[in-house]
Amino acid sequence: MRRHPSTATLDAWLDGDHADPDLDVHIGRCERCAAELERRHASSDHDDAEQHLADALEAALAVPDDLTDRLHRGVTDRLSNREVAEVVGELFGAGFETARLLFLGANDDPR
Amino acid sequence: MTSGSVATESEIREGTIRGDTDPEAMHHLVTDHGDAVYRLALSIVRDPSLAEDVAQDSLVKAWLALPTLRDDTSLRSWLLRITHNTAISTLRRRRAIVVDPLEMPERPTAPDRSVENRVQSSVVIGDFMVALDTLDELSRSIVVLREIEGLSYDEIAALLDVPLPTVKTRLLRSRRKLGSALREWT
Repeated sequence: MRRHPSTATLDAWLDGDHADPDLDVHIGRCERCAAELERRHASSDHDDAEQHLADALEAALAVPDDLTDRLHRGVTDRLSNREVAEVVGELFGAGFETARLLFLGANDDPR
Repeated sequence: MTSGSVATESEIREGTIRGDTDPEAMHHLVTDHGDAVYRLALSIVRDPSLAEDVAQDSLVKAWLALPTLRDDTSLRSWLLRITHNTAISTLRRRRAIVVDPLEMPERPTAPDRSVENRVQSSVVIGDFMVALDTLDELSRSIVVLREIEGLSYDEIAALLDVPLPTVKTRLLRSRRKLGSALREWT
């Protein structure tokens, strides 16, 4: 296990100024570093704008008005197409089996 | 999750157990969870039409697999996990294809706010989306699942199959980065 990073390194990581894949892995698994980062973030004068994050995300990831109808149509169509494909597959399978029985007989092993 | 949606979840589960042609249960699945599925997909693939495709694909996969869902598993978390996995594999397939930047879809604009705020909001949301794009897919998923879907850290860790400290630390860093892009929002 890698040594715990310094507080300066943690601050830089939190600000996105420290690009180090090994550090990412360590911080992503280390409860102690996660707790330290939470403490440092809570005590810093980070922006009040974070309070509006959910509103901003909802705006940035806006859902089209008619999304539900479109999803419903799309899902229904995909399921119908899937059923048709299954029926066609079964028909081909039945045809193949009929031909096999006609030409090879019921007791012949085609392998 | 509200008690109303719990009742609906039960209807959805029963509907699919009765057979895969129950239109009412399908309608509940799409109506109750379609927005969340689409938002998570959009946060990962960053393309509205592709996100809709991922959402449909995820809902179909979920519908077909619903009879195998254990009773103690949250339908919403399970569905969002399917969506996350579908979006990530779609993105990986897409990255193998070279995309002409001129054919990239336009970014969605912010929903209508008051008239006097509209211009300012569109500028702010543009900055916010640039900041959102700089996050990796995992961080974007974590932010959406926490801030919009209101899932707990433990639920997010289980859903994304990542350690708990990853959820906590990625969320902190994402909040800081996105928060700085939102200074004009307030």
